[in-house]
Amino acid sequence: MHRDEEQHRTDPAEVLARWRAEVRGLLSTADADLIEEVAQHVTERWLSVRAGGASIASADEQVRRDLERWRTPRRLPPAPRRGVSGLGHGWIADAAFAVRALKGRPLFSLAAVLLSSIAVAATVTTFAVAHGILGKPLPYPEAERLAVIWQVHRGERQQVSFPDYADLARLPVFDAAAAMMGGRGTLRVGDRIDRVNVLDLEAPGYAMLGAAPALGRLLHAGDAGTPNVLISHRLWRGALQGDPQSIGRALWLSGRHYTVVGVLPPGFDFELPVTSTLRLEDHDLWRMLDRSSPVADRREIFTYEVLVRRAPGVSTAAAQAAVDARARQLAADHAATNRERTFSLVPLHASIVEGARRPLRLASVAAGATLAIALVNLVTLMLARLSERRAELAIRLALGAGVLRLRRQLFTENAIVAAAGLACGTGVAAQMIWGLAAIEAVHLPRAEAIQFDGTVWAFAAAVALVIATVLTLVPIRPGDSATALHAGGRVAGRRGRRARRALVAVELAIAIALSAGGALLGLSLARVFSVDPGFASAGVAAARVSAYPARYPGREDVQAFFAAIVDDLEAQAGISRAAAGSSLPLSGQSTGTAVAAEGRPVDAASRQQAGWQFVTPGYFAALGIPLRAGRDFTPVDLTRDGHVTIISEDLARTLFGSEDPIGRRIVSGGGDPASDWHEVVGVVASVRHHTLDSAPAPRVYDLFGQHSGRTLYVVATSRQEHPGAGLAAIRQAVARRDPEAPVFEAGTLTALVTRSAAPYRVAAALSAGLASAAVLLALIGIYAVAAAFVAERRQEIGIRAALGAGRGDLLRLVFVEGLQTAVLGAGAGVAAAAGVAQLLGAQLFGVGGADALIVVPGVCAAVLLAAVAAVLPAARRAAAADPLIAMRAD
Amino acid sequence: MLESEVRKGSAEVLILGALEERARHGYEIARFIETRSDGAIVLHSATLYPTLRRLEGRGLIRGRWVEKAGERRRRYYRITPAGLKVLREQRGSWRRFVAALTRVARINEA
Repeated sequence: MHRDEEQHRTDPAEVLARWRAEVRGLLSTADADLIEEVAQHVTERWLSVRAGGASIASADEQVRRDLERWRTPRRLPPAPRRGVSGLGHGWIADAAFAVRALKGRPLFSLAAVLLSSIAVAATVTTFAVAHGILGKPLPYPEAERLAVIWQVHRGERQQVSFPDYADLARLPVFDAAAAMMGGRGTLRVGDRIDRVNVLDLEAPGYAMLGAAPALGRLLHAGDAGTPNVLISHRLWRGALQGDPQSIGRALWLSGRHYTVVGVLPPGFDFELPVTSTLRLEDHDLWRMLDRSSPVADRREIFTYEVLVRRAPGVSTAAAQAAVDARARQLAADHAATNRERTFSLVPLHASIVEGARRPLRLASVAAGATLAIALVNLVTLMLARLSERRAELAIRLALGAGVLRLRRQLFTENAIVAAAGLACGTGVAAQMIWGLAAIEAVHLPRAEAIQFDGTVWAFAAAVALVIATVLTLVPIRPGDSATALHAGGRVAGRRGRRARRALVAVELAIAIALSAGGALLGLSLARVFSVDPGFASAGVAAARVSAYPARYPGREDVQAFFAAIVDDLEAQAGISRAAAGSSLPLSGQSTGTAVAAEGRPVDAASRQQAGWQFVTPGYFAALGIPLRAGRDFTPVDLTRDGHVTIISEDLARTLFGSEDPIGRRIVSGGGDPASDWHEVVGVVASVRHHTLDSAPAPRVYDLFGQHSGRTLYVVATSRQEHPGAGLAAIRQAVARRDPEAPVFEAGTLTALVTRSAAPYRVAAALSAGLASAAVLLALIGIYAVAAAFVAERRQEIGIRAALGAGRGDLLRLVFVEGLQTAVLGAGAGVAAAAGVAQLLGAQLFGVGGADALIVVPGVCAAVLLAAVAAVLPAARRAAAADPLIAMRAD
Repeated sequence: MLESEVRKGSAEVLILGALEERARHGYEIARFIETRSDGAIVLHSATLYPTLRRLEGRGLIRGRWVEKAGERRRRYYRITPAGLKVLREQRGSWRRFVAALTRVARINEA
């Protein structure tokens, strides 16, 4: 019986059945194949142990000891292959390892962090600015319904006349409207004198902008014509030192007395670009617009900005249609002034940001390019680094670490690099934004809206994440473990090398495109400076001087005041010439008029548009504006009957053709021809009055004394071409005559020229900086690729050297590799550069296709030359290869 | 951890090696390795079969149930061309690894 039982227990089928049951209980898997296989396995083993003479109990024990190992969870077969198990485990260990790995290669880590920082800084700066300016709503109630109305005359945007405004404001498509006019004044509070911006705004405007007084009250319609004013919080904290008793205080603005009735809340401001040079902004004094001003009933004078609010439910298009209908009616009713006038309704937000759109688009392209370059470089760097780490990676793969596991480790390293880049990059971005805001020429509208808020931080984090992810995805792909091992752990196999070369080619292409763009912008800056402005700026100093009505009530008083200052200046030894005028080239101060010549049609519509100003005798000589015909004004002109005038040569051509203009008569403005004929006594060269890049425009110069104003530019040309002397002389001359007369906007004509070129200078400087960075990055990339190439091929190079290859052969090997890439990149770069040139189009001045044909190949050749230099170090290392060392490496 | 990873990694190359000449079933593979290594390497079923599954999943080997006359059906594993390639690569890699270990050990002795 006992024997039977033993017989039974050693029968293979019985043994298998027994173990099958046991295995099934142990493995807890639905994989029937696995259970069967393992059951067969242990049966076989049991039988074999028994055959060796062991007892049943001993055989059982041995087999169970083997089976016990299945109890450890990680021994369970990986049936669901791509599980998420392990996620969340070991991150801390990964991070610690990553820090060690990064510390181990400080140079690589530094370069990687630097590249990430550049990428983050460029993109985050651009995004923060664009988001702040374009993305955020304006801080006014119902801001999306607010709009500005401009007059359009022959395609040119202009301000609006008060009668036109009043007619448009009555349209039912608007539920609120306000006219406004900005100006500047000299504010005196106690001993303190400040130049401040003043905004005259109609009562509804305060409600439309959502003003709530911080102190006192707002202005209402009843304040028109009274000396009541609101002041900004800024002015209150500054000049009034935050005095809570400020309500009712008296201020003197440009010699007139005002009373503070309210203080606006902090941050309350309103800005609006009026022309390319004039903006309404930073208002410190807010007055009620005076509808009874003599200008307010003259349709031919258009000096008002118009703010409207569309009625609820009325679209911009519908409102525009209503405005168009009214414009047609006005053209019919007031043909003399309105025949060619249309009006354009522009949403307030669009009005404010329109000038920033194009630069921002360019900046976005540049930032994207920078990000691309930095990424490409990071990838190259990473590939070279992985090539160095091939032994480490191969061993870890051989030890059974999965590709996923390695990738998680690499991601941790890359995340640390990206996080460091995020920290540095956002720091730099903050500095750049601050710096940009500080550059006067880079006028950022809505500067206060540019902030590092949650959205910007989220964007920055997203950029960092993209960097970390891209870096992690590139080097090893699933299934690459075999390739990696095959290449002796060289992660960058042939495929990797090709990819890397392609990346560097792209980098080079971007560098060439940006450099070409930079060169074109630089060329354009040079062209702006080389343009003849029509006047000589060297040694000319200028300042604005005001004659207050309180001290100089009559025209004669004002005239005597300025005449005395000019005489005083001319008597000074260091000053060669002095004069005064109501405007100055490039000052941003411009007034226009419509001119007609005697003997030609003189109705308003057929008059010639021209710039207008009045000057004292000697103005042209002081500014070096050449006299083309006739003579300058003389003091004697003031003693004679009849007005005299001097016109620019282009206006003379337009009005009189080839006839001699001297002695002919013209009429300008809305004046009645019969009584307001001006005799042309001189013709002067045309001047670029508005900006250096705008064409010279027709201009009329009338004589100060026959026309008058209270604030004039006093100019003084110093003999030593040192304008500082001229400025001091102007201040002294004014002070001698009247110590209380304000002197402001003092500067040199050279500074005005420089300021006028500032947009070009800024564009050229920015793109030059960008291009240098791009070239530098590309060169680093080429160097890295060449170095990696040499490192990877050191065996081959060693063998070649051992077989007798000379230095020249080895150099050639590396150069062929490096320069193939460079030539490829250069080809793409030339194509991209053509695109950039196209894109820059309107940003360029006096630069055409012919220039691009020279600049682009030149830049391309220069960058290629630099590429050769970048390959050189690696090539020399290859050439100096010691065959023994090279061959022993593996 | 390191020790188990060594075994896991080496198990793959050992199994591929065992299948290079001909197809074998699981137990046969274990016996082959044990015999060839003079008993120095014992592949437990808990190591062997998960590794077989993994290799199969990566297409390096292929398993098939085979019924022979007079025998119960068994699952035989055969190395695939991809498996042969990896085996060759891993041989090189392990050779270098062993060489590296030897070099390092020598440095430590000095």
